[in-house]
Amino acid sequence: MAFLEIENFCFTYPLEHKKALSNIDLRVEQGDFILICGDSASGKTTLLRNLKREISPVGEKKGEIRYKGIKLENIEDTSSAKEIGFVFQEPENQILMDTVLHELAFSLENFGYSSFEIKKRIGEMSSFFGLGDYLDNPIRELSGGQKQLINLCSVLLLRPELLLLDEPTAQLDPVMANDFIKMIFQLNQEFSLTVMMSEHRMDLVFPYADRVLWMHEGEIQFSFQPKEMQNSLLPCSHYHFQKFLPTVTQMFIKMNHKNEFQHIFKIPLTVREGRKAFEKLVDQISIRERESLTLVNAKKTSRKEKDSILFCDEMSFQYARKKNYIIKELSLKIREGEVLTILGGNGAGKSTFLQLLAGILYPQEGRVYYKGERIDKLAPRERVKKIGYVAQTPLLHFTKDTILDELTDVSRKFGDDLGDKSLGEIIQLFHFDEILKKHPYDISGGQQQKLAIALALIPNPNFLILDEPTKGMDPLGREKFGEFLQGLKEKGKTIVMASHDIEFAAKYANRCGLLSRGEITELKEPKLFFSSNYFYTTTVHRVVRDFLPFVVIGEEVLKTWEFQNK
Amino acid sequence: MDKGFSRIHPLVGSIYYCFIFSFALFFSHFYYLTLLIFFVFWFDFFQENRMSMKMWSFYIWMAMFVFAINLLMNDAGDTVLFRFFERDVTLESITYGARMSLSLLTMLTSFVCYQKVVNPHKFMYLSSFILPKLSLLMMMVMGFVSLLKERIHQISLVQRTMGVDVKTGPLTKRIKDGMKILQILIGWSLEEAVCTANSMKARGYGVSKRSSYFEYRFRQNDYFLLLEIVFLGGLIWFGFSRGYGIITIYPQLSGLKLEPTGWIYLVVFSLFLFIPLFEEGKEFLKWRF
Repeated sequence: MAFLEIENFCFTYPLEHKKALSNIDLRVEQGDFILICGDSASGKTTLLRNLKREISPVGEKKGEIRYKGIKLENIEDTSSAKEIGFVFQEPENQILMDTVLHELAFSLENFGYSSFEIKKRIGEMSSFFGLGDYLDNPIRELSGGQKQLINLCSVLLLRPELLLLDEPTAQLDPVMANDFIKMIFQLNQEFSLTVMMSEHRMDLVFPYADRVLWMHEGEIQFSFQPKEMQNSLLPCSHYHFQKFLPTVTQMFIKMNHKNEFQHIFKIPLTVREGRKAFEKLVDQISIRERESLTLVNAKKTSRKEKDSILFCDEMSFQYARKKNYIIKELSLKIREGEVLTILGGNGAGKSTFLQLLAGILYPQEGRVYYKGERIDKLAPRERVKKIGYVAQTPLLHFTKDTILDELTDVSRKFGDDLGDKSLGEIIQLFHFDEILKKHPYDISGGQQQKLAIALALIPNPNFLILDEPTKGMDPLGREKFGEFLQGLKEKGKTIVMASHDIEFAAKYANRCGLLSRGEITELKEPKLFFSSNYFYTTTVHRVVRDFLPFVVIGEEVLKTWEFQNK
Repeated sequence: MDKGFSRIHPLVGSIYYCFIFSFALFFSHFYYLTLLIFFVFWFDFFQENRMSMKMWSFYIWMAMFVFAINLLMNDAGDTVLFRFFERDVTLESITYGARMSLSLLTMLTSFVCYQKVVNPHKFMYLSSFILPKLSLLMMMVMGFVSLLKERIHQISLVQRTMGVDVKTGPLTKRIKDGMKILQILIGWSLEEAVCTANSMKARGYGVSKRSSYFEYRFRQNDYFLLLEIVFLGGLIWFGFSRGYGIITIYPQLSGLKLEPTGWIYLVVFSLFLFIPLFEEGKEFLKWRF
């Protein structure tokens, strides 16, 4: 008897013809760490939620799910709620109470545990998680990563045997995501907790997983152990699937597409393995070639200095008189037609900085100029036509019931001189044709992001500000979004974005800067920026930095490599 | 963390402050009222999160306002001091006004102290014995108030980029924009609330009868304090029933002079007021010697 058995399970949402899940067959043993990957509409969440009875979606179900040999429907209420834990994606909205202690006590109080038992369990758990100092703090003051840790902790207090996590780190910055996932791995290893997790951060989770499921259109297309991948037993050339592998693995698979290096290295999964493999590869070539390798790309791509479109002059900002400086004496020139990425951890003040640039917050000292004009002097209507701003949560932009209404409303207000023609263009550009009648809340996160950008673009501004645009996107979605940004750039738009996404910035930005302690470090081209960082850099660079010191993305490695081999 | 008098059991604390409120409301003798406000001030002064000068001056202005209104409206009493805008200003009405404003000031400031001693969590704990479901709801509401405030702030910032702003434009536009912001808040919050509800269910809400983590134990000191409060409080009320602590204002003001028994009751009254300061003092001495 397996711990969890899913047999021929199918699921259809009401009023839909297509099955959301079809023919799912899965056996999970006690203590397994299972990673579910796949694009956003592939049914990952639907599958996970079907395993937790309390929140399983309404719809038509076929097939059987057995937990410890008992059908899921027949398990007792208390044991279903206790033994199967679920952590959701958003750290914010899982929280009910105002202090950490109350939040943690909530789940135990639900089962009527005595005060003594609750105290014991919270004491034990908070020392394991290092939460002791926070217990009396209001939760709202904590960072996203800490909140998610509290959500996890609150579930673990019930001592679950199966832990389900639905993209738990999608909203966290890389450092916090790393901590969170390490914690899950530790629980899995030290307490033999069975874990099923859906996640997009493959670089982080892949090496830990016992088994990886790749879902596509409601089916489990591949189910494999990461080790199998190294022996090339899998159809790695599958274009769609490849995107869901760790970046290092992707790079080496591409290098090895003719299977010529099979004898030299196994396909690596981690940076460590990657570096070893790359070293072996470099050993194959002569010393002279090696020397020329290191010089590749060291040159700065010379580009004409373009006019600056936005300029801030020794800008300082505080939220209140006695609070810290969020932005301190910051001067910055943004060039016309560039994609500028501002990186930095959670709480570094990236969002505030963008809001200052957008002219919706005003600095206490210094000014922001748009082509020489002070933006605080611009009338709101004028400003909208010059600067587009998209917030981290796209939902904040939507006021109407359908996407079409949303678009026409804004175009009636601001796009007057362009009329319906521009609207048609926008719809085409964003591929909104099929979803025009849908409610903005019902479309996927990536589409919401695009809709918010579309709304900002209707008044035809030249300058676009995006706050964490790739948050929570799957790898394919990110790639499409990156290409879309390139398209906008070619149309002559200047784009400034804040992001945690190092890989995305390395690939699509013209210049990058790090915001920390209210200041932005020198703006540099991605390859120069990341190659001078030690931690804050791409996985690819960590693999190849001893050999190709100025290469930060996989594509560059491939190009260089092919060039050398000619 | 709870220290000093705040370590008292919430029930005992509530009983103590019930006495204080009722004294502030019913006692009219100035010696009593002055003692009350004096002790409230000193208790508050020893708290870590003591009231700021701004708050004190706000309450004092409020009391002054009541005093002034009374002066203008009230012309009862026999002893006319002078005439002001065709009205008699009497000693009695001034005294009455002073009594009212002192009483109000004491009520307000002692309520602030009560909130410090019996904080909302403890208050919830007490109310959960009467209405358990409601107190959970209240706890959640308390969390949500700050959340919604934060959300409104975010929404209005973002909507400002699209020209939706309650701070600019004609009144009709401002009202429309305000409604729009509220509409987004509701839409967004409902969307998030679905997830919150799921998280409640996923953690077993409604599976069985809820218990409460927060149990405030009656310590030995609590029994002692309860006894002290009830004894002294009772004694003071007994005195009140015999006319101690009251002055006659109308039709003619009686003197403030106290008989020897009156002084004894005043000492008892001060002892009662001294209880919180005594507890704070114990805490203070613990670290001194």
